[in-house]
Amino acid sequence: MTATKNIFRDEKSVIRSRGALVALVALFLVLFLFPLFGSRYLVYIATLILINVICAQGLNILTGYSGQVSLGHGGFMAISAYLTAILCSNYHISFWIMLVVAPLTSGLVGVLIALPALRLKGLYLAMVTVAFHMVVALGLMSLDVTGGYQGMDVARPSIGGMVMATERQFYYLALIACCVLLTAFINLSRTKVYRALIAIREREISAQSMGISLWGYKTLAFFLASIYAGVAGCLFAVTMGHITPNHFPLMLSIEYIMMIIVGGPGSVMGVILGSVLITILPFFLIFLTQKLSVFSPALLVHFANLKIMVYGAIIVFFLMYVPTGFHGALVRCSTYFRRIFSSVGPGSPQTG
Amino acid sequence: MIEEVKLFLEVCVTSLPVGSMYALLALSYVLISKGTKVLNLCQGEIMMLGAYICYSVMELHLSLVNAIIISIVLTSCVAFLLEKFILRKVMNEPVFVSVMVTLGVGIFLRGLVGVVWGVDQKKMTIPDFDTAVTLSGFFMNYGKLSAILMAILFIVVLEVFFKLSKRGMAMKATASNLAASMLMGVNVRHMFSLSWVLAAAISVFPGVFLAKLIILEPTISLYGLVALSVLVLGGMESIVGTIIAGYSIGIAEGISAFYIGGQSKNLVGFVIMFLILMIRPSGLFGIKKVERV
Repeated sequence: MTATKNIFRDEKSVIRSRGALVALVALFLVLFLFPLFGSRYLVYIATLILINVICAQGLNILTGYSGQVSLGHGGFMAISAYLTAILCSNYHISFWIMLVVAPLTSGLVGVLIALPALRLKGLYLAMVTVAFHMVVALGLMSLDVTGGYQGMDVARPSIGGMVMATERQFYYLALIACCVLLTAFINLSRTKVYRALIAIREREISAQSMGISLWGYKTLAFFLASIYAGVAGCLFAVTMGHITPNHFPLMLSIEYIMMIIVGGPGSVMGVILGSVLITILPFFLIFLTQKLSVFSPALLVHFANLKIMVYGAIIVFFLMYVPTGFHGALVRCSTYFRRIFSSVGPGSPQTG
Repeated sequence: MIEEVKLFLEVCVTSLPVGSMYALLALSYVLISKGTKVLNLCQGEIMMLGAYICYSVMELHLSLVNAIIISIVLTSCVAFLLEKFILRKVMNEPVFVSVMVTLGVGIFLRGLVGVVWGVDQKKMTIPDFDTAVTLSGFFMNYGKLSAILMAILFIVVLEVFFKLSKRGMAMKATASNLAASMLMGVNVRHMFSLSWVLAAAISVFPGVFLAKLIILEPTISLYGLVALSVLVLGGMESIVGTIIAGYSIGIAEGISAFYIGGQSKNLVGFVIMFLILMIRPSGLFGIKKVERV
């Protein structure tokens, strides 16, 4: 009896072992101390990574858990970012209020947009969200209040009279937000909602016959995902200081889907890894192109196109050959090696 | 009053050519979803590829007809290879996987076209198409007229193909029940290839005509997204519905561009898509599906 109890407790616990605790504390220390040593550019990239982790994790609720596809997450980010910019700069509302209001707004917009699509089975959500992103992008370019192509400045937030302006401060802001939202996400993964969403992903009809409201839970998942995108957009706006419609192309939404595909749908660590990799990818690609342009200067001219070719190839490659992403691949590797070692050493299967 | 009505009709008629091209493009989506149950998000890019190939061939001083034939052959080959080596591998995966694979292929193709042909705008010169004609008071040119006729031709051909020919019925059977049609002796692999090849061949026409009517640049692949709203309005499956939806969205765009102006033209399709999903999700001509467990 006690054994079952222990297993259930292990299943529910966030930190499964002492090793994991040590690793987590070490990771926090590294993340906390990193900006003190890293250059401003590196800190900026790290902030972008944290923001992308937030947004991708939100999309993970929708795509990884409930199996729906949203190709418009950049659009929700854009709405929240522009709302923050407009209200902070033009109406002098405190950023800290916006950090709550903007995500909620993008969450509500998300629900309004997705409601008709979520009533239906299939890919309507993908189509609607793509359309939504196009509408938002066109709106940002043609409205007066958003400043059109020039974009607009975002007022600097301040804490108790101190104005936040350096990369380091925004990094810590993003780090705190990321930690809070990740904790919320991990806790969500231990609730009834999580299990309902997984049931919907696996088979809608059987989930429905268990009494799970498909429509309700899908809408909830979309609401949460849009809220995460909203927080990310809000942070993005203040980190950049100036936002333009070019910051939110359709490619952005596809990048978020890529983070999930590369990391492994439904896995927290996987999506974090995916976000890190996909955020670094363009910086890495431009570095590579600059090195390779010694051989052929045409590479630099075609950088944008080569980049999206690489993106497309990554999407297709991962979906075809590594459908569970890096997370799945790592799990498979570790079980493989564990099996080898346990079959070699007698009496060692307990170590796993 | 009469003048206003005449103006309105003029606006409608002018937007017919673009509408018929939307219809044809959406028709290529319908072919693929009818044949393989996949929503192919890279159809816009395949269309763009067809237009660029046609442009390049015409640069070699070949006639338009030859250019279109060469373009159809090459684009169909690309579609055949894509289906055979990529899409067929993910046939049995969840819809999320297949739709994302087509999206990835589309992004790749867009980058490839950008690398090969460059991102600057190209102008297609087809002298015959610019000859103006007057049709019962409405000004047209041969290019626009042939665009409309092309769409009508394709409805008839495809309707006949699906209703009367054995192959067309086999294609419908494959989509509706894979296992049963395999048991009845349908070579389903051929059917998958056939629907992709046909779709690619058809989408060459909207590619060429849109490039001629509007402009040839990599962003014409975005018309693939407009075709999605045509698809929703037409009900995903029906050929006649898709054609009518294509014309409706083309005309709606024309009207909003004329009477509202600005960017509203690009929003119309998406707004219609939202409305249709809210009011009548199965589209104008869709059939409500009942799923059995």
